Amino acid sequence: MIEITIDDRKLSVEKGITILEAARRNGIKIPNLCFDKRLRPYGGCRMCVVEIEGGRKLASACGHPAREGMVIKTNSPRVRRVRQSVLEFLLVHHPLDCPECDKAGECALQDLVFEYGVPETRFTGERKHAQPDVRGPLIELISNRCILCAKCVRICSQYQGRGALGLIGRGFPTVVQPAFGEVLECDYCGQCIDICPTGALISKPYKYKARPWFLEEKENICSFCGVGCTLTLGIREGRILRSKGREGAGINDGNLCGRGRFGFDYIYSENRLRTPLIKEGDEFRDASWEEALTYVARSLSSIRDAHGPNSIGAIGSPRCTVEDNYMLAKFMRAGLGSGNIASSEAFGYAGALRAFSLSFGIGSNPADLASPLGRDVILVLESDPTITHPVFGLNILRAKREGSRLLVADYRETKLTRHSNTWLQLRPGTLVALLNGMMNVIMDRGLFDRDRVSGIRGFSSLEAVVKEYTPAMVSEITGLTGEAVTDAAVTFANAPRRLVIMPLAVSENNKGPGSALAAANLLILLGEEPSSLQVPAEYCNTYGMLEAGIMPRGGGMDVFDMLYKPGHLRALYIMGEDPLVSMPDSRKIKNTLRSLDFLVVQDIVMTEAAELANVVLPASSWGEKEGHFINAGGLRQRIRKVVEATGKSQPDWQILRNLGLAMGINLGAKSFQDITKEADDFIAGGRREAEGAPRPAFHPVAYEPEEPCDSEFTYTLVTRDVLQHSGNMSTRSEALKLVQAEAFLEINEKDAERHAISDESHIKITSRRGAVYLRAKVTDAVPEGVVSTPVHFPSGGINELTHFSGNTCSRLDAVKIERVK
Amino acid sequence: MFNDTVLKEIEGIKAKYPDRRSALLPSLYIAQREFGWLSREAMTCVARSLNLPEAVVRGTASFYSMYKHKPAGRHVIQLCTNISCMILGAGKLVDFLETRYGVPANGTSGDGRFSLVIMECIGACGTAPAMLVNTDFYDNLSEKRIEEILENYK
Amino acid sequence: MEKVLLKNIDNPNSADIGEYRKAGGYRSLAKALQMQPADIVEEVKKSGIRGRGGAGFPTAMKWNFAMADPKFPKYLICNADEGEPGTFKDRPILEKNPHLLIEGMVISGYALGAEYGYIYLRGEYPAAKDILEGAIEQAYKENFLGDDILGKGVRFRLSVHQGAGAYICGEETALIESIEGKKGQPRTKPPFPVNVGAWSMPTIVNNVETLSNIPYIIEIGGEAYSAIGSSDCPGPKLYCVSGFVENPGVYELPMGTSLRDIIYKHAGGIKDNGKLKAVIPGGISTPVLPADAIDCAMDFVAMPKAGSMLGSGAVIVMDESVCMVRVTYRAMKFFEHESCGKCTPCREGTDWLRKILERIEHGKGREGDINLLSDVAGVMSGRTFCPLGDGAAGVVTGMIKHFRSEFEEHIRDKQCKFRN
Repeated sequence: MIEITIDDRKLSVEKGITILEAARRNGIKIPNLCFDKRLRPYGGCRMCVVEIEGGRKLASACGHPAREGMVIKTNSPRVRRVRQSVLEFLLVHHPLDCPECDKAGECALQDLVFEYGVPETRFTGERKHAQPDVRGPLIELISNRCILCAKCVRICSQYQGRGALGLIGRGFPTVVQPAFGEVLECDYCGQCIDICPTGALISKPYKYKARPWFLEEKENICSFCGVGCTLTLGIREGRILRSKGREGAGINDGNLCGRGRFGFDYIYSENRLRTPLIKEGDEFRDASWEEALTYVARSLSSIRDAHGPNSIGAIGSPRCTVEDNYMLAKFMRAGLGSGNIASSEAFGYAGALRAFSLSFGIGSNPADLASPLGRDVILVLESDPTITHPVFGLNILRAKREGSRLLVADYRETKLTRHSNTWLQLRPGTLVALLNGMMNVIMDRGLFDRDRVSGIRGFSSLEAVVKEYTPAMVSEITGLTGEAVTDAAVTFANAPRRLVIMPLAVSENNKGPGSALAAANLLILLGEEPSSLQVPAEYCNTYGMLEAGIMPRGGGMDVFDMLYKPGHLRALYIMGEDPLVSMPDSRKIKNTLRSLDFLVVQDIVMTEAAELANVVLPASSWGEKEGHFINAGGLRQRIRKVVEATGKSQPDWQILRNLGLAMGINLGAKSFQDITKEADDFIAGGRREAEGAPRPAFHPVAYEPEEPCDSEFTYTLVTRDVLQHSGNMSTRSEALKLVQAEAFLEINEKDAERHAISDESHIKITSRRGAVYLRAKVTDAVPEGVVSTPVHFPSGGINELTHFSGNTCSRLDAVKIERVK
Repeated sequence: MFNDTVLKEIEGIKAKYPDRRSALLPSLYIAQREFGWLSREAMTCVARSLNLPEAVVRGTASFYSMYKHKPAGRHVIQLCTNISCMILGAGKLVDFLETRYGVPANGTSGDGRFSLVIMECIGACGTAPAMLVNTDFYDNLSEKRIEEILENYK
Repeated sequence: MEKVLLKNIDNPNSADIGEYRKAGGYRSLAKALQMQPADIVEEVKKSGIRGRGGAGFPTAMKWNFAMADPKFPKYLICNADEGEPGTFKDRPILEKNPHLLIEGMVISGYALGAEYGYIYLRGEYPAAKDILEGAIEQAYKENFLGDDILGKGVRFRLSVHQGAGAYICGEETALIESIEGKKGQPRTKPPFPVNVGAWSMPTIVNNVETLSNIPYIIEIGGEAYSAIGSSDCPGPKLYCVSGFVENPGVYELPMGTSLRDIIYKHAGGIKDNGKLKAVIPGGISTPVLPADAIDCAMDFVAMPKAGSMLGSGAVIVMDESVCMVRVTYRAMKFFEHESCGKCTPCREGTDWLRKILERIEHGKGREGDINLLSDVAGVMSGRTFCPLGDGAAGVVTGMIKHFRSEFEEHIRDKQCKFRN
């Protein structure tokens, strides 16, 4: 620590920080236009100049280190004069179009001019010639308003790792623009909008919507991925108009991805359910809550009475709150006496939990969003967290910038492969072979502490399995060179601080619990703790849903039996999920749903599954109800009702309580507070049970070949997530649809040429289970022989093609491709 | 995309530096040689061969005045008009080039024979005025001498 | 004075390694490799040499900073981005005496513990690129460069990095950005390049002329060297004289030769017996001196006292036919064109100044324009990110100070009456 004086205040500050940082941390405001704590100091705007006693020149506080004994004046007349001159320079060309600028009222430039006084207008020449504006689906750049602080360019390239905007030109004529032309194609994270100190970069969906001083700002937790960012919502007249990040708010500390920023409008989907619906013949008709709940109560009761409680099942939702899911589980277990409670996470995070339990002997392993920082080597396995968990992904990029070695094993090019030190481009689905191969090298070269590890349960069987995975054999399976496998193993084993990152997504078919087990084996072999295996839970409340009891227990059926084996169930209650879109092999699910005596779907919008239901119940969406989400890190965060519920919709937990009452079951919960407390206690109990030191064990996994390609089915289909969507709810967002409205099939340039396919061509894609039609996206991001598609889009119907195996995970599908004339 | 020979040349350049981005300026010169100027395609090739975002490539290229950001004539005249050259008559030579060869300052003649780039100092102040034609250097210029020199650039 | 930097350049094959060696070249390297690196630095320190790029920072001090940093590898970069208008002093070394520079770099690299060197050569010198690369190839062949130089186990690898036309890259942090493949925009200092330079490693950036002095310092010893020229900034100095003199060119003279002697004794006086009006003594970023102010020693210490700076030693001589408004306008066009655009005062200020100067020169000046020029220059001065903005402001301030009446005439008469 060092002692400095700022504006007559004696301060003790950390050595090595800048004057601006020292001031910020002590609540002293130094004005600036080009500073952001996420970026390297730039020193361009010259607003943050301060006077240092004894210094000849003024110093710019953002880049100047604070030194022992410094006496600093941040607001002397000399300093104020410089700031006035900077503002005069900027106002020479900045248009005074505040009356029609969205930013007016929260514009840094406007505020500073207000504070320092409007400078005398001595410039009488022509203003800077209007530059062409930049357009895009979600972000607009009005060039005239740009003051060239370069924050947008820097956050896009330094922090987001994207580099979609450039400072084009030199000196006075410089403009901020995308590489070529005037259309911005990027990640659409919109970080540039928040960081822009003027109204140059604005959100298109929000443009001209409201004056900031008319907005009521409320914070809420994002409803998409498992990171659990805090959104600052701007609300006017009961409608959410925008969402932004705010420095200091929530775990995201100001960062947001495009889904969190633009995707909230799914709650205004025209598809929203406004009233309960009862099917009569092939048509739904509106019904009152009383009628609908009486009908559901009577139907479920009679099925239970006739076929026993085990003939009824329920599907919970990672999108619903802890309270909602807890209530569903309670309704099933305590109310009906059925343990058939499951979720789509059987194909995702539940698999990770199984792996944690087998390998480390622990019931949970919450992710740590800061885990990448400070690691010597980070190994990312067939995943792109910058897509699945964007704000977590930022920490991986930051770690890389700060010196971590980044190894990425992935079949395709991603943002992370572009930023990696080493890209291990393996064949899809061969991760287990690579990991076994790495262990083979580590054992062969003695790069581990044999004395310590050989006593761990399963060591000898691991040794036996791994022995076969010589670099040469692994090379054969993965397509990597043996040398690459060896190098990766040696690099990883020799690093003092290591990390493996591999989210398991429901939508992915290239890895599963087996891959997680293999990764755990590698880490245990090297003496690592569970925290070195980062498998962040997928959605906003995946973690909380599982903790709230949405998993089969006490002999209850999992989704594999409930949904894929007609006849096991007579009735099914689905809450906030569409298994026909999110789970593999959807034709089988459709058969099962059709075979049921009674299907209830409770959701916020009409879904594919709801179309098959006997009764559809309208639930209030995120933003319309109170509750909690638990993020991937196990952090319980409050979500708030910020707008009124749509139509007659009600919170899920409330619908279930009322249904219970209609069935003569008292589920307790009189109020929201009651149910919150009860759920909380339940979760705390579960966490206490899971406590205890890890008991590591090796569970060797052998590489299993995927569905074979043959002369007919020549391509391997990999399903994945895309950046603009999360699950399928985001596909109801009009804003996000402007970027990606429908499913597409990525195909390598050379393969495309072979089939005379070009961008946007219609393609028929057929697997051994079904066929769907998609548009082509020709790219060099996927290798030859592999095609890839996102599963988010209900209309895409991708899961008609897919399959899974052995009650574990989705597997790669062999498909054929035809161009549709 | 660049052909294999060019890609190899770029790999050779990358090897001279500790990171790939450092090869950007030399690679842009190569792209300019291959495409005649830094067209969109040329910059895309550079971006792909160095694994850099296109906006980074374009932004960097646009900072430097010796890259050609539009198609140029067959021969590029780079004439210095900075002070030492200016006071010794470079301004008149600019006018001369326009009237005699139809090549405007920072433009290209109608017949596509010459482009004229107004340069800042090219380090020939002792023998001013001076110019480069492509990469050939000429100094002590006068209207007559320019006529003689340009005879060699058809 | 014996020629050191321009030695042998009249030999048409002076760039050839054979000719260079015949004249004694690479002997200093052999001598240096017998010495301890610290002793070499000591000699350089004793020599008192100051950097020839313009700022005049003591070379040994810069070296010591870099050596004190424990990080490796270290990089040695030769600044051959000679862009200051009026300057053409490094060019004869680069084109006619490349081995002198290479020898200087290998010695310096050995002394500094830097194994990698780059010559950042301005794009405007395409001929020099071929010559330097040819010379480097020769030096590798004869084992003056490589992984085991002269069998002493010393490694130094050298290559040429060609700039692409940006004056600001002469600023050392901008130069480093540029070598890293970025826009040449200066970096925030501290950290200084000697600690965090190219690729975040300790980096020493020295001018061509500075590095070319090193073999001579090793040859005659620091003490003997320090006896040449001015006592507080000794050594031979290259002065380049252009404009209205009888014999423009590069002159190697002892540091501190008077400006009057440079113009009248060495460059042959004013062309066609004209009358001297003004001199820009150190490249156009240095303030102009009127005809009666040329009795000053051209070195780093004396010139500021005389109201200007040594800069790059680029003397631009102007006679009575030259319009000072036009010169100022042209200079400002240059600064506006070369401003990197990073900081507000320089980016906006140069544009504004240029526009005012343009209208004055074209007979459209307004009352109050001169004060406006002074004001704008005043708020730029000392407030820009790097010295480019200071230079631009200084030119205007200096010109108005000495030639205010000429500006007033332009505004009053609504025209420019000068021939040049």
